[in-house]
Amino acid sequence: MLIEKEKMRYARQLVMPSIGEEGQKKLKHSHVMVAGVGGLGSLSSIYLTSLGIGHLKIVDHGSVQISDLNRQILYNERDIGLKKADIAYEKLSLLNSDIEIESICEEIASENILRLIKEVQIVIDGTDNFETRLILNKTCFEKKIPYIYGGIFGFKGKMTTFIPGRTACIECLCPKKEEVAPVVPVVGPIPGLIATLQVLEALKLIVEFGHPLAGKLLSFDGETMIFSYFDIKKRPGCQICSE
Amino acid sequence: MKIRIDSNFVLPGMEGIDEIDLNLSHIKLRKILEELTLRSSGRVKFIRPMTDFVDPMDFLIEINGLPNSGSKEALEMGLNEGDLVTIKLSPLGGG
Repeated sequence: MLIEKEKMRYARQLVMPSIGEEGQKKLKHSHVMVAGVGGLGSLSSIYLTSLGIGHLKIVDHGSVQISDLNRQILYNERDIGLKKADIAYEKLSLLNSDIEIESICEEIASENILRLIKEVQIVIDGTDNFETRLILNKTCFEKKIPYIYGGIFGFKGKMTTFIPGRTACIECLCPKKEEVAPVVPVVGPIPGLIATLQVLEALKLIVEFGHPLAGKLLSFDGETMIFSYFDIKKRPGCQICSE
Repeated sequence: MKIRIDSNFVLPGMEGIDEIDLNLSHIKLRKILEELTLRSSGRVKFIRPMTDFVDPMDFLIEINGLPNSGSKEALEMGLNEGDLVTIKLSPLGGG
């Protein structure tokens, strides 16, 4: 059940019929992992914390650099050089002390992914490379965990929700480890928007309302303000998601 | 001339169709992409109107399995009967 403080804290979402007290309890008992707390992950982790996700796991091995500060809103100038996972833990704990926040300063790899993902219900992509995404994708499909992809470049952002047993997977879009430009051009509002939508997807999946963006890729162009949607095909013979 | 079409997403207006047959003796890649846009009722603009090329952050193009940059010049590439044009959504890598 929810205690009085929680009822006050979450009052604005408890009054929403799609959430209500039952939905809030589901959030309280949920376990979400944010893989990478950079441009996408720093914003998604803030909103997940605010929502009252009961157990939030954040995984990142990087340190804050001055060039992160144009978009990674969890951090400030005092944090430069410090580990993102540590700073994220500190700031998110100040935002909501009633939830369990677990911060892990490790690079996601094939060797540790099973341990990292243990008991996680949903994985939110905050990574910046396809190698890690393919590891997350494979493990999420093996363990039947929804994987909410997000990616950005310049004024463009894309996202989708991969649901094992139901949708195509990221390998259907990107079968091999595509190289990412060494310096990805980006302005804060683009990861901000995509991360916000990723959290909205997680909220719907946990509380079980609405329609997730399953099987559809959302593409946003910030220069034209056009949102496009594409039905992703399963790649014939995909080793990850083919039945 | 018949041009085969493949994609990693459902092309609106091309559901269940894997070729375009145009009554033309010479066809350029640009024409095929414009035709696909037309068939999608304008929903999918492969050639970006602002720049007049295919932005690789939107779509990746291949002709018979070989990458085509989608630049203005590359869009003028002539196609032959039975050529395969593949259009892929490109996931974005930054985060």
